[in-house]
Amino acid sequence: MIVFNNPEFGVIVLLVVAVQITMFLKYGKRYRISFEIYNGKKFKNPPIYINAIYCIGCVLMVLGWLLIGISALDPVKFVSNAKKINTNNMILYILDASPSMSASDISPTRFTKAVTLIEQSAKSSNALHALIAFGKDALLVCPPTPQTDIFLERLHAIQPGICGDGTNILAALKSALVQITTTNIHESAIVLLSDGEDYESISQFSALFDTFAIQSAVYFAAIGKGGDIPVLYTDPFTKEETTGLYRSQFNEEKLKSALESTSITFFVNPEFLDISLSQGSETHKIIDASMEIKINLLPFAVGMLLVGWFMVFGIIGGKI
Amino acid sequence: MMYPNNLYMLIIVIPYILIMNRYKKNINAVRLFSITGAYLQSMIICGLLGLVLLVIGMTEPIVPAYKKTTVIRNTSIVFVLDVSNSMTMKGSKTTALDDAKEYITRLLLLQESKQNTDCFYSLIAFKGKAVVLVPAVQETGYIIDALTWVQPASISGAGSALADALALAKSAVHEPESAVLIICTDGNSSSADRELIELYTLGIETYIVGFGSESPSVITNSDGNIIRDNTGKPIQLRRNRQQLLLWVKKGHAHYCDFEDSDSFDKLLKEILSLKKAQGLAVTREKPLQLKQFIALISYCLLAISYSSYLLLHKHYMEFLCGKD
Repeated sequence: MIVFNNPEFGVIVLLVVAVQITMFLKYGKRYRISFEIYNGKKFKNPPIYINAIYCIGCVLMVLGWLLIGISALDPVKFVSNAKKINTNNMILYILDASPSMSASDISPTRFTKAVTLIEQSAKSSNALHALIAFGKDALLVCPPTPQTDIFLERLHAIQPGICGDGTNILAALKSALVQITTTNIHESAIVLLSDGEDYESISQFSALFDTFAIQSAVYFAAIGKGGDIPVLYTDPFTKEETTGLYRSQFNEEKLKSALESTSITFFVNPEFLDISLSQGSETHKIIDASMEIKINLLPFAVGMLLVGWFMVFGIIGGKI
Repeated sequence: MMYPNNLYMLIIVIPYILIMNRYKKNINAVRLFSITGAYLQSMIICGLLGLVLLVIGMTEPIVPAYKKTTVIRNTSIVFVLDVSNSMTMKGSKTTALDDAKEYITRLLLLQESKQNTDCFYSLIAFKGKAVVLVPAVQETGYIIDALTWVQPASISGAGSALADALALAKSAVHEPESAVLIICTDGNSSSADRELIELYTLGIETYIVGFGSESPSVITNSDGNIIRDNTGKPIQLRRNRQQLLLWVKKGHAHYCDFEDSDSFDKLLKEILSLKKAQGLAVTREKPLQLKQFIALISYCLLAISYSSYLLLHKHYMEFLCGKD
């Protein structure tokens, strides 16, 4: 989307265009006599190339002139995903980056599906976003930020196995608790995306949230299916590829029963993450300025104008 | 003028005058000058003025101290930290990089304890490339934490990509007129004039803090080995104050020496006043860009030039028809 920082100049620009069109209609077409001056010589039936140069030159001059008018309006381009962010809200994503997330029971893989869900949610939500990845260890990949572009850049840098071999949900929870308690954010949501093959930790996870009476809304998106699943795992450090069949321990019923006594919202292989946060007050909203791009039209406009002018007056010598 | 070099484009005036003179002669050749003279002159002069103004507009002139009232909101404090090998030169106690880390930490702690309101902090480090270590966050703890581990070895590649770092800094700012950019470097980086000028025209207050000793000292690479030139002699560097002052001049920034407590207090005061003014309309001196105004005047002059051309056309045709 293109917006103008000086829209008030638009009135003058349009007025001048209207005057020029009126004058052109009144005087420009009144007499239709072909008559060129070429190096001081005049001829009534000019060759076709003279007319072609004249026409192209005129078009370039008009376009250049109009672009000068537009550049006076100070055009700025906002890319489509520019948005307002509510700094009172935060969504903290906890992404399972264990090697088991490479399983392809969910197309194309569990991990890719989880990343896509986070990306969709981050683009559509107007909260601050934070990201923790976990495997054997937990890692704060992105602190709560309004910069969606940086958040997505870091999200796409994560690979299965980057946090070690294992599914230590409790380590991720510990890190999440630190983020929630240290940040001065009014309302937050924690979204855990995992294949949930660590049932003991899941139970402790839900119990801990109840114990600490955390005010955040907690969502658990379980991603996976049971059975024997083909897997292609690339070690992020050695780049060594492992292929074969993997017996998934994923059990939807077991997960549900582990979470049923808690206030955790549970999804299984969702198509999108339905996270609801209040909108907060308008005064705390900011515009994501990283999506603003200045358009400097003036050099192009001057270039077009000069080329057109040279064609009409320099090559032909003007046409009357 | 932000880009005075563009004034060389005024050379276009010479072919303009030559070509329009020839055109004038051509009109004279058909003995019409007396009838259309005024329109012809008006067309040529307005065209010339329009062209000259366009060239001036391309130099991006500004009024440097234009008093502008803006509502201060979403203050951004962006730290740009040089982690290139040259920052391993001798500092006050250990290295220039350690001094820079301590400087930023002290600044963050002091501003936080005095006035804690909504504010975004970012940390960008640069070496061979620029990296956003901490994107815009509301908690200073993330910045202080990142400062504890960042080292020259944290970023791959040799060099000093200050220009890239400044481009990233621009994207971390939400409201340019409520932003402070603090560049911590020794001045041994490649030039970033264009980016500094851009930041200034946006209205961002830029502070360049110089680190490193006044006397030359050896520098080390990421492995801790002394860097030597082709002859095997150790490369010795010192704070390049001359270069830093040149950047300050070009980018209308403020210069601080890291050991100068007055400039530290001034910087702290600037941050605190911005934080205190959250949500208030404040009149401050900011640059006013004239490019758009000049483009509009030039647009109108070119329109007058074209109107004169049409009137010239009208009288010429009337003359021809009368003659026929």
